[in-house]
Order: sequence, then C-alpha cells, then structure tokens
Amino acid sequence: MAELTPEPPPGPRSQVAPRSLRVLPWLAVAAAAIGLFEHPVGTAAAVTATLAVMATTLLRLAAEARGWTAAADRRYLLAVVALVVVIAAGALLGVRG
Amino acid sequence: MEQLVVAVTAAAGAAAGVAGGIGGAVLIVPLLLLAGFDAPAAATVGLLSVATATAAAAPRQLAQRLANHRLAVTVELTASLGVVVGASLLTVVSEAVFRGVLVAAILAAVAAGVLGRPARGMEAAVLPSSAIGETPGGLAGAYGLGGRAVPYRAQRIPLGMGLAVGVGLVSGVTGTSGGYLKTPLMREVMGVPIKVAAATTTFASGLTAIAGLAVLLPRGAVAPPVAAAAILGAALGGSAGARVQARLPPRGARRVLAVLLLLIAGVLLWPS
Repeated sequence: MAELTPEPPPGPRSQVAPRSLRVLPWLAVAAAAIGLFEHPVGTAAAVTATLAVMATTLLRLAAEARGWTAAADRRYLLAVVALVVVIAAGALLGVRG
Repeated sequence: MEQLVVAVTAAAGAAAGVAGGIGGAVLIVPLLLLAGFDAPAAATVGLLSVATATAAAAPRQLAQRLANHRLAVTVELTASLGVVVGASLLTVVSEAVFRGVLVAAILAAVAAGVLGRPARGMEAAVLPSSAIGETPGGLAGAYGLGGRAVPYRAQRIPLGMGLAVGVGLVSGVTGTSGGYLKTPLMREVMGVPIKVAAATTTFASGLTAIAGLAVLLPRGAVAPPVAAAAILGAALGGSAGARVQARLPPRGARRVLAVLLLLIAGVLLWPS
C-alpha cells in the first residue's frame, strides 16, 4: 500500500552519472581480456579489471552521496562511512587470513 | 583450461540468469562446484559476476532514476556485516554445509522468481514526472509510470535492517548476490514498490559483492587470470542475456530457469 499513500513531492534530482561510470565497465572488460594471459602484464590487467568493477559501484555511491547535504542526510552519510569501514574490516580479515 | 571453464560458466550462468530475471551467481556458483572448484573459488567467481553485473547496469539505472541509494546504503550497512562474517566462515565450513546453504539459496531464488507477484498499486500516480527520484533526508521518493510519478516511502526500517543481516550472511557464505531475498525483503517487509526494490537491489548487490570480495580476494581464493575470466564471461553473458530477455516471455523464461535451478539443486544434494 506504500505506493498508494500520497507523499510530499521529492526534492531536486540527486542522481548523477559521471562519465567515468560509463567508461569503467568497458575498461574492466578490456583489462579482463588481457588478464586471461598468465604473464606479469596479464596479472596486472586482471587486477585492474577486478578493481575497475568494484570501483564502479563505489564511485557511483560517492557520486550520489556528493549530492546529499549534511543537514538533511547526515544519517545516510554516516551510513556510507560505516559501510566503508565494514568493507575495510573485511579486507583486513582477508589479509590476515 | 581453468580460465576457459570459468569464462564459459560465468557467461552461460550470467546469460541464463539475466534472461530469467534473477541474476547469474546463483547459477554460476553451483555449476563451478559441480565442475570441481572448491567453495571459496566458486563463491569468489560468483561475487565477481555480481560486481560486474552491477557495474554494467550503472549507467542505465542512473538514467532511469529508479534505484534509491539511501535505501541501498541503509539496508547494505547491516547486510555487509553478514556478508563479511559469511565470507570469513567460507574457508572453515565443510563442503556439505556449503552445499546445504547453497541449495537453500537456490530454493529461495526459485520461490522469488516463480512465485513473485506482479507490480501492484500503480494507479495512484499523483505527482508530475519531474518529481521522479529520491527524497532528500528520507527513505522515500517517486518512480515514473506512464509519464507521471508514483510516490513511495519505505516502512519498518529497523526490521528490514535486522533481516538484512541474515540475507548478507547467506550471500557471504554462498557467493551469490542475495537479490532473490533482498528484493522480497524491500517489497514485502519495507513496503517498497517492486520496480524500485529491484533497481535498488541491483545497486545494493554490488556493495554486497565488494564486501565479500574484500575478504576473499586477499586470501587468494582465485588466481588473477581466473578473476579476469569471470569478469569477461559475466560481462559478455550478461549483455547477451539482457538482449534475450527482451524477446522472451518473462513468466516462461523464469519457469525454465526455475526447472534448471531445481535440477542443479538436486545434483548438489545427490550423494557423491
């Protein structure tokens, strides 16, 4: 029933689409193709591809959060920071094996 | 040879999963397990396919302005805790436990895909189309329908966040996006319209994948060339699946995929 309940009109459009969000997935695919080869260059390309697909989503989140204001969206900005902390803690767990 | 198996499996899984509307990892992970990969490797490839799919969908999703990023961050905050714990457990749980959780995830995906109800309550379009998007400062917004905007507001936030821990745990242990659980959670528990819930889940699944990969990649669950094969396969397969999806009757495609998933679940449970 939520969609039947009238709500105050949403504010200005907050979603942005930086050009890098369009470029990074293509970069990832190109790097992944090179990364198939077991060679130092291939290894570097595979790591680049992996980082590119992960960075796309994080970049999208950062681009969105840039449009949020501390006054209205403090709790969501804190959630973004907390999410990054959880991911970093996961990486630490991974590194320590 | 390992790269070829992963690339073909990721492509086939992503194509079938996207065409069937439930994502590819829930198909890719069991197929790799049946191909002889260990659980951490299969889960890592699954999460890489999820991350690739989310990255590929980003430009289209931003243009549609359907996903609610504030809602995604809110749900994912607790879900990512579950993902990190689940992915950490992956190296210590037995393969029997892994298979059991994976079969449960497959059954949940089948239930969500086949039994999912159609969109509802679309008639109350009361706002101009310029209102489409997120509402600053709240878990609300409006989505487009027939040239107008339908408002919505998420409800039962604490309950949704609590249940998201369990969803994340399943995602972390199985290496799947958990979208088959997250979309019903947002829709049925938090009262978010299905179009917004599905789009938000796609974005949130990317964050799920990052949290899981942050644990698994440093542990060397897969070699870099295998990771590259997973990304390449998922990107090509996902793209092909999206084209096929437009030509298939959605209900029929989901039923075919459901039968395929049930067969895989049966093989996973079959004593080796």
